[in-house]
Amino acid sequence: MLTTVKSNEKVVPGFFEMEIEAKGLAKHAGPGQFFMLKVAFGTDPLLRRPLSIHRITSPDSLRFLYRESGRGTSILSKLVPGDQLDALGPLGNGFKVGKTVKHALIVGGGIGVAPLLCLTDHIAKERPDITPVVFIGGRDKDSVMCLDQFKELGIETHIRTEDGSIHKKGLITHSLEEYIDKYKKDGTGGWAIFSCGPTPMLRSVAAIANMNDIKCFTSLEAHMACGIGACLGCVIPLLDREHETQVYRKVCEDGPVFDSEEVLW
Amino acid sequence: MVKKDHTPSTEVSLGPLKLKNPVVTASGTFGYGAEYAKFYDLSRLGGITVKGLSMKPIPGNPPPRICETPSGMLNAIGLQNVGVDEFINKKLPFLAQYDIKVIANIFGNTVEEYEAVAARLDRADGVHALEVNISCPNVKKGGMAFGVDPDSTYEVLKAVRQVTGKPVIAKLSPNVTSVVPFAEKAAEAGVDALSLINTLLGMAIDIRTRKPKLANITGGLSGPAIRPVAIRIIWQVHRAVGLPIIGMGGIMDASDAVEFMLAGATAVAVGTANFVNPTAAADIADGIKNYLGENKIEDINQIIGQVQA
Repeated sequence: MLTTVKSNEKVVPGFFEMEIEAKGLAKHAGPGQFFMLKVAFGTDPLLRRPLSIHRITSPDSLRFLYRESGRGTSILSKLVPGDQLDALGPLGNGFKVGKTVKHALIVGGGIGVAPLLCLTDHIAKERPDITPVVFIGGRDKDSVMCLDQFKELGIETHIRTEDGSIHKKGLITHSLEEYIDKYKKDGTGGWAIFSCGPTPMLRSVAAIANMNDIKCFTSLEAHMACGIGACLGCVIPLLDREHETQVYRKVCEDGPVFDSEEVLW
Repeated sequence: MVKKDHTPSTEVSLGPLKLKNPVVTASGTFGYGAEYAKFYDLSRLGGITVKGLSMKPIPGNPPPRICETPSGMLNAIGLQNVGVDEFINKKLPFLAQYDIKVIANIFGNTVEEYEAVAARLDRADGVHALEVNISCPNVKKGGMAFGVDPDSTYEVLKAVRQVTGKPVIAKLSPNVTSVVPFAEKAAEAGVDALSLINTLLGMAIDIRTRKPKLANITGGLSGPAIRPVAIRIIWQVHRAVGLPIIGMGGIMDASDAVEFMLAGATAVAVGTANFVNPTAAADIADGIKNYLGENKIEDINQIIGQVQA
């Protein structure tokens, strides 16, 4: 559908936040889902770009947080309020906070934080019984984002930077492990981890979850052409538990959120 | 407004296969149809060509499988498919509710496999034609090996022809010096129509990692980037061989479709455009009708091959 750009601003160098609006745009949208954006009219660049929902601001508007990482996102970053943007979505299977979840650990690395704010918004609204704890990691001070927003939601937030330029130096996965070690004595039943970020981080988070018997849901990325399950371009190898074999699943339609135990890291 | 009694005729014939309008979808870009039924009524199309089918399911190539290129994309999906039986039992019944022709794209590793898939589909109600893929650039056998040697082309098409009474369409490879001898061989084998063109073999490299952008190293180039190549091949084959042609290769809108028909295509297939805009194929079908009305052309068949070259 054709949407209107409401705002599109640089958050920190290389990272932008954009709000778009169209009637009914976000009515059926949930955390972890994404939109396919046609960043320019014409045939070059040809394909849409997938961006996960950062925040649902009304039934008619939502926000994306994105990194300028190539030609498509570079063009996107130059759109100004009033510009038109063709957005297809919401698409994919997002984060589901099951009824059995009593405690949510939310782990993001770099731009991976983008869909996680949407998730904490969702939990605040739909599951006030859960008090989520957020873990944010990044390379340096510019790549740990959304700290103020999590603070506004009153969420306990742990932060690590790899270069120690701000907050504690180290990997966010260490922080997650410390937290689990400190509080797991009463059992981890009802705990769930939700994660998004670079693959090495996600792999490590999945291993920590597995070791501590915690359910872990992870949002994955892939190059995709269509976003609607037709091109088969975005597949990743998953474990087919029933047949104990490897099977390709579509990130766009079967994901982008997967049970991390099924991912063949 | 065109009055109802002046509604232009859009029906075309690919030999015995009649389409109510000339727009079909290209194999591998439209899943098994259901993926797009969420976006529009598939009956707006003349037909759909489903993802290539083999006897047994095929998992496909490891990722990354696609990458974008200027006005195009490379893919190396590797013919991932559910297999012919699963298609007939689980996917085909859904399509019966639509007023469209269903074209089943088939491939195999050996002539016998092509034959077996064709025989299976010959007995399947709701499959109106078979498109024989002898031109997939992304698997070692199962396609292009047959499509780049005229005698193999003849052999596999003849074998399929002999096991089915349904219309047979040969999808030929553009990755040869001239497609004309292959089209002649296909005609000799008794096929009813040709699909032109499959993707062009291509490659892209990430200069930072110095690795190919596709795990398969090479892939098939599609999209508007290949359109002039497709137009040229269709024009050459149309002049040389009498068979009707389904033209494809980067068709994005109705103007592109008309260009293909002027070059000699009887019908057109929309491929990569489905990925960019899910309603592209239906929009193109409507757009062609508008073009005929605006230009007071009574019958779409009047434009086929009418390039003034």
